[in-house]
Amino acid sequence: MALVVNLDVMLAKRKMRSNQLAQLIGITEQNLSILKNGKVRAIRFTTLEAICKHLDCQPGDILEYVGDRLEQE
Amino acid sequence: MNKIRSISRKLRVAFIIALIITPLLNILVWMFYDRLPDEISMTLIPHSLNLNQININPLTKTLACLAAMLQVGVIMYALNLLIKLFKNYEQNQIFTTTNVTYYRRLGYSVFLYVICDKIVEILTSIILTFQNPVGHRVMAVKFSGADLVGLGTGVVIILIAWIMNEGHRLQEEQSLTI
Repeated sequence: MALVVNLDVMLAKRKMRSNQLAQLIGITEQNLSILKNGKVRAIRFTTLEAICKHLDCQPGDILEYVGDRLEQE
Repeated sequence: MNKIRSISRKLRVAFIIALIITPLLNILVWMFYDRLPDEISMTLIPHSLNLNQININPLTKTLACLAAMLQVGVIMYALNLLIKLFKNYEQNQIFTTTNVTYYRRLGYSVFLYVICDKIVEILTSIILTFQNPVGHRVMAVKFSGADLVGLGTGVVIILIAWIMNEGHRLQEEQSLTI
């Protein structure tokens, strides 16, 4: 997919663990892992909002459009 | 969900019993053909034959029973699919690719049943009259509205399989929406 989820980068910047974030935004660690690995098919606005709130960031910090770059790599 | 599991379990047991009974019943009705009431025995011979035309003896009964096993085999195959399907329902696996495959196979088995019904009808008419003198041997087959209903049912089941496949796709999409 041409969209990359940079959640692990933001987690590292905020020095927060995955399980902590999962607990804060009210999803399971398994679902957060799916999100981090980019296997996710869709993301709810409520989830994105909660992530941005707790990581104090913008949606653009989490999601990045890479176009054909990823496929070329 | 518990209700689905409980009903599925009961139905699975019923299908297992039917799976065991069906071939035995076929053997028994042909074994005791002479003792059966006319209403039942008439259903076993092709509709276009009458009782005066047919030869019932141990050889023809055995051959007719074997021919009917073709149709019984299809019924057993369908029952086996239903057992597997309801076992999956018991385990809360409802919209899965395996179930879609079972549904599709069930649809095709209904088609196969209708085809086998005609083959068995032809074979039974030959078996029950092949000992008659030349000119009195019969090969009979008859198509009726019930056959069309059978084919229609097969089409409906295949369509359900297709819808189930869409359901599976939606469930997968839902499970990957965070």
